[in-house]
Amino acid sequence: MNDNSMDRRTFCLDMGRLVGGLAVLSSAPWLHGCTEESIAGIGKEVARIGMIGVGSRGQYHMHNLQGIPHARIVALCDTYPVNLEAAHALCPDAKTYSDYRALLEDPEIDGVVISTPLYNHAVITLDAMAAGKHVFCEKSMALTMDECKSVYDAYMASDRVLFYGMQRMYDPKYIEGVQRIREGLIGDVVGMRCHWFRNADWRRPVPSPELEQSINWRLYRAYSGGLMTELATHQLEVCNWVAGKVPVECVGMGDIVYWKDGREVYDSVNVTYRYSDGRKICYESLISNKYNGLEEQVLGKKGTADLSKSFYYLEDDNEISGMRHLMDDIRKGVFAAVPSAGPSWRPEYKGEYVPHQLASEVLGVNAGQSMVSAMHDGSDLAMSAFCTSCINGERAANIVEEAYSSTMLCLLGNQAMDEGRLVRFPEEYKIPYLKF
Amino acid sequence: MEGSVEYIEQGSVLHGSATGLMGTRLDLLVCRLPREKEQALWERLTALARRLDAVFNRFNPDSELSALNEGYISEDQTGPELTEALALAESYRERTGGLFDITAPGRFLNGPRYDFGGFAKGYFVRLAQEILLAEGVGSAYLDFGGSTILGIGNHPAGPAWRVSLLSPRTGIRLAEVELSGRTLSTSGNTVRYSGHVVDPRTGERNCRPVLTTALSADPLEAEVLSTAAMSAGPEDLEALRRAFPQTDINHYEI
Ligand SMILES: NC(=O)c1ccc[n+]([C@@H]2O[C@H](COP(=O)([O-])OP(=O)(O)OC[C@H]3O[C@@H](n4cnc5c(N)ncnc54)[C@H](O)[C@@H]3O)[C@@H](O)[C@H]2O)c1
Repeated sequence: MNDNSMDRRTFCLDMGRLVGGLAVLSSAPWLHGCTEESIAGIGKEVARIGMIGVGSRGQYHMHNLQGIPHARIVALCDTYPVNLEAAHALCPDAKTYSDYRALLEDPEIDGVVISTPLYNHAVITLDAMAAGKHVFCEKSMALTMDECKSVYDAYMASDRVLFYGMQRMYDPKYIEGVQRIREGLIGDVVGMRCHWFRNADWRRPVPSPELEQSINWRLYRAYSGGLMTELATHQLEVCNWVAGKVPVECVGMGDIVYWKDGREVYDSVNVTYRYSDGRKICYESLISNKYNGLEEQVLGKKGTADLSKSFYYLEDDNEISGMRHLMDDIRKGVFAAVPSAGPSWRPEYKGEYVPHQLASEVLGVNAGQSMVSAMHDGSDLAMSAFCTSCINGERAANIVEEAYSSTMLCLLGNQAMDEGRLVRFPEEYKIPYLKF
Repeated sequence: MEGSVEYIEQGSVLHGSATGLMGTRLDLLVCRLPREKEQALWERLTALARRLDAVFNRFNPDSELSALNEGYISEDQTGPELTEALALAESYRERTGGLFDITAPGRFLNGPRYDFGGFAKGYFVRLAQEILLAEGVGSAYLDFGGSTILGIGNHPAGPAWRVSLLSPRTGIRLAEVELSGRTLSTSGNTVRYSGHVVDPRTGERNCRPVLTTALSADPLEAEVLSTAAMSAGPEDLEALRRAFPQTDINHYEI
């Protein structure tokens, strides 16, 4: 940790170098906290941070925080001594707690980072805000719709800063990608397809059987919304960001197809969301086959953008792939046959499209990154923005609302799958921010 | 029409590309000439394609062909290109024993009387070839809709232009051909467009998964014969080959 102002600038987005420049701030207004002015405005002040939940994600955030010049970790809390000790070893100067309420009483803490299982996100967030702390909570927002609404209402009634761990919103790759889509790169957006495939059981080793549920909390419904709240939430947020609105209804099917090991959450989910204008998000996640990987595809009339890979493909391109080969060969001075599959009557099998870079190669983040920020998935920038907000008290626009809407969509998806019916976004949970 | 041009300094290679010409895409590579001259040739060819589009495009209600098909003009009122094309088509009908016929019944339900699909692209490429050769082009590659490909001279890094013909169904290589002063035309049926070629003798649509090719120094002949070969049985194919010994005609089950 040091407070050299050069290092602080590592954590600002260089708007001038982002595709879209300052226009980005209108489609992603939460980024105000990452501008050079914001960072300069906090001077040499430091945010004093308490960590609640220091398992794998909590420790990851600690690494990030330790690289942020305007952050200092002052307290750690976990109910599981093994994790608390591991975290303490990373940060020996911090005080340790086993009860977060005791941590919240510490007046020397400005903000807390909550990285506990989903089931207690809401209660800890509410308690922390009530105790006057600023909060960064991991996604998703909460396990139930009621809890989401309570957190949202409490946030609206308070002046505290609240962030959610939705790092794509701070990832230059996504910021630029969404901006270019909004500028018309792929024509009118006509639909979205997102999926997350893995081939693994999603389990963690358990040292003793009575710890099964607290360690493998993801697999049990009392603690977790399964694949939807753990994975889909990120991707659905991106869809809403791109569309500028929220779907009105969904249908889905969820099953335990392969991992019949006593878990309660689905290992296979398919949910289709429909916007009021008929556009759809086709969502799929399966954890016993990883062929399709993780993708967020935005389908446009003129092309397709894959935000996760940061490529886009134009509808016309696959018709000319032979010419593309030929030109590439000529550029390289190579002589080879030009592949041709004949006229326009090629079959409707998926074509070979030419990938084009979606985000600029210089990702708009100032150079001189630490090890952590070199990872560039936005988590470090988001955390830095949170610390900036802890100091200047400025809220980041839309983050809570985006977390609310994406979490609500996950919970609606789970409901649709559990009940086997079409579920509409309930009136009582519509907040003013949401456009349908 | 939407178009773009890219240029490679090394070897002076200009690549023009345009969509929306005669219902498809035109790509032209011209090499080894001064850049301005290459650019001017590209513009000349796109202008030609636009002009022929206005003549032959049956999907364009304002085309001359539509006027003829709708009966607004008669055969003796057509302009020079359409007049020539009608005569050429008639002579190919005779020489192919009726396998190629732009008036084929059953091509369309209540359809037009003439359809220059399987002709017009070859006709364009023939005119384009004449222009390129007259302007002293020694190295060029022209791809019209993927189905009519002309090579003049050689590839900047090789002795000829070479095309690898892939099965549109499987992607497997069916043949490799050298194009230096020749045009490769392909015609075929696949899942999406099956039935687009009609046997003029029976009016039946050909739905078999077949790909035909014709390789000829005359782009129009290549185009006409790849179309004709779609309706050809084994004996017809032999007859076609005898009637057009200069053209290499092939028929692939795909
Ligand atoms: N944004 C992301 O990409 C991302 C990635 C991974 C995890 N996460 C989120 O982070 C959160 C934690 O996930 P994880 O993988 O670190 O889980 P984990 O099980 O490794 O860690 C959770 C920790 O919270 C502790 N804990 C539980 N209840 C507590 C309480 N009342 N007080 C204090 N500590 C408590 C547990 O003992 C454990 O150490 C989840 O919400 C998860 O969705 C987000």
